[in-house]
Amino acid sequence: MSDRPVSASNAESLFQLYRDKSPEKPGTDSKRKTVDLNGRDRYGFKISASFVDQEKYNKWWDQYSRYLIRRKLKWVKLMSKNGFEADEDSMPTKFPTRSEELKRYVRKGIPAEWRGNAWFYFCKGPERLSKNKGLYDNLCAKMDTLDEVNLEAIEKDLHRTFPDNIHFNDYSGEESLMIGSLRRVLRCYALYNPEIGYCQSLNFIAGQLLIFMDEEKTFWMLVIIHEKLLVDVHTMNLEGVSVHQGVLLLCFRQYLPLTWSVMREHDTINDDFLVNIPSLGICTTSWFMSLFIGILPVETVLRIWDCLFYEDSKSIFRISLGIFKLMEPQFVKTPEDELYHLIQSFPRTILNPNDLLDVCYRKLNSISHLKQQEIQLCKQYVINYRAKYKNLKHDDNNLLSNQERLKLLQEGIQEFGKPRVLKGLRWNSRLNKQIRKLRVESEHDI
Amino acid sequence: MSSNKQITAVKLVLLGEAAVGKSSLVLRFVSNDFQENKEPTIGAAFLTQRCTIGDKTIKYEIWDTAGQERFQSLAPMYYRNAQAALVVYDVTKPKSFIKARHWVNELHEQASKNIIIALCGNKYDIVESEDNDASTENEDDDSRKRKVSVQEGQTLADDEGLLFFETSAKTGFNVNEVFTTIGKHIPEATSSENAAGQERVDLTNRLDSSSTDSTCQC
Repeated sequence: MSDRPVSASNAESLFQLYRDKSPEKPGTDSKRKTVDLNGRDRYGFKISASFVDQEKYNKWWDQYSRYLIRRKLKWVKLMSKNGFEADEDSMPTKFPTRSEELKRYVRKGIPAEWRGNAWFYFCKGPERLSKNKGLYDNLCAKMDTLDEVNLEAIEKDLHRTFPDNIHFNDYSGEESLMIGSLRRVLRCYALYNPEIGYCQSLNFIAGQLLIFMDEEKTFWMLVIIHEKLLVDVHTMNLEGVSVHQGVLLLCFRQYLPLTWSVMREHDTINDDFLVNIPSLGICTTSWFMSLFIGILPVETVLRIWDCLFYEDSKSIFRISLGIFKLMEPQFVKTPEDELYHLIQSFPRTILNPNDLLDVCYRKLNSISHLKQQEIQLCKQYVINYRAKYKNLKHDDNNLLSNQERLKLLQEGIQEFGKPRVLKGLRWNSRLNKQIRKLRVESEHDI
Repeated sequence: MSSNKQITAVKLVLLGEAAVGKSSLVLRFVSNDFQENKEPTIGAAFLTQRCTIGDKTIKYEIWDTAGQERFQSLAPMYYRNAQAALVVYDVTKPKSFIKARHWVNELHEQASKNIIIALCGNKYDIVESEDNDASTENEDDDSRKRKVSVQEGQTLADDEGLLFFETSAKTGFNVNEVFTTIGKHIPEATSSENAAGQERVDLTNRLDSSSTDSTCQC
């Protein structure tokens, strides 16, 4: 038998909280009652702890819950059309094969009670699980052998994970089943992937997954997320965090020139911005590290996760750009010393997920042209740039001479061949301009 | 409001081991609130608070950072150009005091020369009763919750030229005092305009030095 105690999640009672079902009788208010469980949302989060007042929340929810019921019915139809037996009460574990139509459905939101299964399925979780039967249980059996540093770090954060969620903190004074599950998942993952171990923010990602699936699946989702979406983001040196910020800055330059120009103006972004990430860029590190948990309202985060797990890492950048796009009208007229505050507070106001997803995915919008290949190339460029910079840099002042900078930029261009290799990004032509400038300057130096 | 009142913007960064109460100190100072089990800060959080000291008003621009060891590599982004720093430890956790020492050293080496550093031994509420209770004085160290003595904190502060406080974000003990005392030590001249100008000058200097300062390249 497994050493693993009963998992807290996946219990039928938990699903009852967030079922998208038509009201028994049309016109009754039963929907809202199931939501407002002593001022909690359908996942057990305290609404008062969210970022908007209860009245505004209820008004929005009244509309949005109708949308959810409509979407659920459409999903049921889609499933039947593809030969899956499904009705409002079923819990499918398999989903139709990938298609443009399915992608559209995912972007419009997966029914909440199907989310756990759907995320796991779209990430190819079932295959990983069947190839590695027993692996999680084996890790559980030896999880106490984890090193002291990681054990202590995990323990410090367990009770600080969603303290406003009833499943994590039931105010009984006793440790909730969910905290037990979270402890095991985080310890097992730290054992499984010593390069990462435990990094703060994994508690939030694992915690949110546990609301939708059992701990073994949560464990495999963590594995897949780090292979697919957050490569190197949680490692010891957090290099991936800086790389992602660098890529995002390059994306701003290409897709949100107005925002970029304001940033450049205020934050004196110099030519080394890929190495010394400017303060405004650093505000968004937690967006990546915690996959938007705590940054956006809960329902909005979940809709984003639908897209992330169906698609690939470009979605993180598209969503980030989308948030800035929505923020742009305010961003350009906000004084410099208020910008940090705006970047932090604005996302919390995006209560309606459709506002954000429309900006990210509507064909007319330039952000929707951002392709995965572009992100990959861009990422590789930033990685190489940073690595070379580190090799070249002087220990005394961390700055390059113009000649060294020139060499670095030329190598960057050579590596990626033709200047137009990245259709979307104009950074190559900009590099050429920089090179010309540097060449003149370094000739001057000599 | 009197129109000729000068508002001084002060960039302040909080550093210290995970779960010592950095965010809680800020929450107490900014909102006069306390949350049990405050969620860990990821990356960093930015908050502002105004504080009036005598006839000057200070606007604190606070960068509250993540405490886990690996986030240390991001810290320079937050403390560069900071005029003040709060280095926080937990009076019940000796390791957090060692970490505080490291932060003080790093700030002395890497941060701007005139940075004002305040050392805060937080969670004073946990040890308050045993401090006041004479009968526990002779008990051995293991049974006492306090693991870092006032003297140790004071000595470090004296040696390194720091302000020193023991605080409790939970009860609010000494929290405002930390910020007002820092405010008193901020020189008058650094108004918000001057501070911004200063930054710009610094950056150009840094850029120029790479090409013109030949002494550091040989």
